[in-house]
Amino acid sequence: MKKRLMSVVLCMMLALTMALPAFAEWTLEPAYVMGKSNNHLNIYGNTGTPLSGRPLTLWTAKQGSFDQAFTVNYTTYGGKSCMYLTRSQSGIYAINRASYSAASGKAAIMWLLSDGQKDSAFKMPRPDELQLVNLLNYDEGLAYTGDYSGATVYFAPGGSSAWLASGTPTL
Amino acid sequence: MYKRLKKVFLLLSMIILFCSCDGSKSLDPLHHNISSELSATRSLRQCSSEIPEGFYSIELLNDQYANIAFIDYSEKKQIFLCSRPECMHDTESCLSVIPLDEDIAVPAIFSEMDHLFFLQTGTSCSALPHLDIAELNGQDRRTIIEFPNNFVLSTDLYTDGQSLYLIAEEIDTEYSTSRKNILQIDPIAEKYDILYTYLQNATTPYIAGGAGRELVVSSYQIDPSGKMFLCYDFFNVDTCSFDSKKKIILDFETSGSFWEGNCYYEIHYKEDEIRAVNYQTQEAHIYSYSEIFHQFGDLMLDHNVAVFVEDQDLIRIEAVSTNPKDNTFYEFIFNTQTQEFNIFDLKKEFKDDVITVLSKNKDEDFLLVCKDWKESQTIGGNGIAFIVFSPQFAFIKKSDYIKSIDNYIPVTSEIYPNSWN
Repeated sequence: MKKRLMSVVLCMMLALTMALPAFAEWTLEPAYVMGKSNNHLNIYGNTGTPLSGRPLTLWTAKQGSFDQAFTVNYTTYGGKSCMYLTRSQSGIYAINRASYSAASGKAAIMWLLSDGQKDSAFKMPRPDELQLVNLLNYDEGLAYTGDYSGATVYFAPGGSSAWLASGTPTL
Repeated sequence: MYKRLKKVFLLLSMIILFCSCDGSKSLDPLHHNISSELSATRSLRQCSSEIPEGFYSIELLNDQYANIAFIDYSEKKQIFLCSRPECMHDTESCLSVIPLDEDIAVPAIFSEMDHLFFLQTGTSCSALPHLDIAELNGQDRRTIIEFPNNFVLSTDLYTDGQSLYLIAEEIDTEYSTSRKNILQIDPIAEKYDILYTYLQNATTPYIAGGAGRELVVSSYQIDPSGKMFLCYDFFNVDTCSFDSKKKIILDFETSGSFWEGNCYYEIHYKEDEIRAVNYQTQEAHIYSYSEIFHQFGDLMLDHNVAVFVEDQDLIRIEAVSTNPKDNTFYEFIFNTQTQEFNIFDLKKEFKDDVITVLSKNKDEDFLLVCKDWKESQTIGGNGIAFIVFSPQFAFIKKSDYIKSIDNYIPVTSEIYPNSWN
């Protein structure tokens, strides 16, 4: 009975990430089989700083925060189907792979989409918590150092951490 | 439809020389479903922020306000869009200043119909999504349309010279559903109309291109087996309907595709071919890039290349090495007129990426590029130091660009005065 319940819950969690987003905005949080994280993918930045170069972190979930909502944009990079995750309300900035390091990979930052498409292009998302946010042009995926507020978010070699995207109803 | 299109391309390859050198060939309009009316005026094209005299942009030096900037091609200088010599460009009294609320909703800028347009794409804490208009010198900036607070607008804006077109998503947060709409904006009447509404929760479409009076709308669809396909649908903005006969369905795992202006490009990875169709002139071309693999076979390049149209006659091809020890991108410039390939290695030091071509409607001999980014440190409003990135703009002769000769003509900047230091 316990195993059946777990598999049902697992299916429900996977169903939440299945198929293509029918919804414009994602909130991303570390994925768990049971329970939910209290932290969201977040754009970090001090007052007075411009958007370009702002690092990504995990941060305590805050309802309605535009620093924690990302618009899903489907398009192509050089003809290859891809996804860009832009900052909601400032669609000209997107999640981007920096050339400098952070944690055990490359830093994840916000950057002007018009000038950083190669490093901002994600593969088309797949119905799998490990296949939501992997880069198109590198064998790297969006990862976090741990599930706590302030955790560094970076691009890890080999693939992403497990994520749950909210705002994606099943088809 | 895809099989039919493939047959058409095969037919074309028999009548068009491989690596054709002799210019355009006419299409059989029956096979390609291309209307002869496409050459009529008011064809749809993507909006840009460029005019013949220069290039507009929104620059963000902090999170309190943005500045409207203009690269003047004749002066080779980027300036604040403000004519007052004593102005510091940091208060709302300056024409170039766009104040931002704490949600930092930076608008997208376009220069069309002899005006500037500023599009805020979503609701922020102080404003609904809206469209502003201004004169080309920045004067008389005002809001002409406000959208409902549950709208999220795309920045893929198209125009026919009289109206603007985009896709807007209506979100119902209570039920976590959404509905996508194709909007037509009339800037003179200061109103918008919904031309078409997709079924609720349809997978998000985007406008990929324009073909005459039709928007080419792309979307991803999944068949019952779970396989994903890329679809292009043609939406006529006059009849507000899709022409199902023109639908293109593509297996994007075996082929790439994109639209550039009126042209549709397919990249067939197995055949090492780029197939281009101009929906306005009815010309079709097939370009082979197999020579890259013949000449540079020792680089072990992946045949699934990325292709970019950098200029009218210049295609950049980006390939990655399949050698696990070599994590490098290799760039090539293909001149469609001379049929020549050149290795391209004009790169930025920052981010190790190729220089970015900014201009599309430019001098025939020169390209405007973002050559690099310069880092510097400054102190924020809370006393904490942070890094600022300054773009380095430049002109480069097309002939130098093709041969990767880094003979740049600097564009100095009032906004980033140290960018060329």
